Amino acid sequence: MDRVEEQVQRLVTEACGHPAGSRPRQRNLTRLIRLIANKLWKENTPYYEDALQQTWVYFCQNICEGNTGEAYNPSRGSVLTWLNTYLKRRLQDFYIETKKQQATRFMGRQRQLGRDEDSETADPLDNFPASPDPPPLLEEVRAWAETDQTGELRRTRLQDHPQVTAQILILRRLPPETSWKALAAELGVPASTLSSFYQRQCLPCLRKFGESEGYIE
Amino acid sequence: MTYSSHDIENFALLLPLTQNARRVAQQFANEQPTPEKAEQVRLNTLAVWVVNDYLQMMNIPTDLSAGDSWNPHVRLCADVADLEVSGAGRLECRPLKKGQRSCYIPPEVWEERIGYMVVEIDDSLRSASLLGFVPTAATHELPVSQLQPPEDLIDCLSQLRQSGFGDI
Repeated sequence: MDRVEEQVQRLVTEACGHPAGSRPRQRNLTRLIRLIANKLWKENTPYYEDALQQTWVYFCQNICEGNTGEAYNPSRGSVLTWLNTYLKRRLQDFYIETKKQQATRFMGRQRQLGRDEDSETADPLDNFPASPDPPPLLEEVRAWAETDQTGELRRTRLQDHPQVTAQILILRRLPPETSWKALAAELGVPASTLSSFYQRQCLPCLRKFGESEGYIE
Repeated sequence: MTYSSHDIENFALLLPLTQNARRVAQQFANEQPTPEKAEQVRLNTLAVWVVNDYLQMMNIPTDLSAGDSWNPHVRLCADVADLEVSGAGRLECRPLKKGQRSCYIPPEVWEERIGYMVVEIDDSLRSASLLGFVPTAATHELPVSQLQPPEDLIDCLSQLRQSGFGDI
């Protein structure tokens, strides 16, 4: 057994000696990921990172107890072998899925060609109109801040500096934004006071605006 | 305490950035009016995403869409990369480009945070390294040498969640 493998075994024993979700378990799992990350199978495919992420989730779920699969069994091989086997299986799944999608697209194209041989458009997707641009966010926020229908943005003022309102700061911080330093010089208020006011009193107005517009992602 | 760059490399936790992470980051970037802002939003989104992936792996519950970084209006108007950790509060996940020695912490995120995780995004946008953590940061430039190992976040979160102060 080489040094890394020994270290891995020691950390696994250490991690699994503590209950799931406990701090020592989490710390040792983190150390294990750090130790192993550079030693796993690598390849240059568009879905490699997806397969790798699935492998890390599988590792955390099954290294001590079998939560989503069979628990790791040291008598059957090293942790690295166990993880590489899983990773390669996921890569194989993604490979097959990609091939299937390519085949479906190809068939669709063939059918389309057979139907209208004179048509110049071969890809059925070409016939769909382009989706309209989303409403330009910047203009939407600018209009909201300038109009300030409820007057809330003009009423929200920095204590002892009534010339500084939420309306002014929001408009000046729209990209391309004026730097805090430049605003501090212009308004005669320290930059940290301005940014604190912005964080505590202006951003909540923006959040409320977003909610009223029904933005949920 | 300060650490040498060798120590930081030893702390770094290399994690993948999935296709979905890159797709969402690009989508958020496309909403921005200038190329500079788009780049900022792309990196912020990836940093938040990968820290969220890490916390999920550790079985620490989060609410990705509750943060300002997932709010189109707030992320347009502020340089934010926050992640809501359930029962603990908002963790700021600051992106760093490969090779940078210090991390920019914008003044608008100096408050209302339970800590700062610095994340180095690879130029390929296909992997990221969690470089380290600090509980407070009221400074424009946070030197990478001042970071504590990423797993120190685990202790910090555990304390916050036990004390129940995180909901304030």
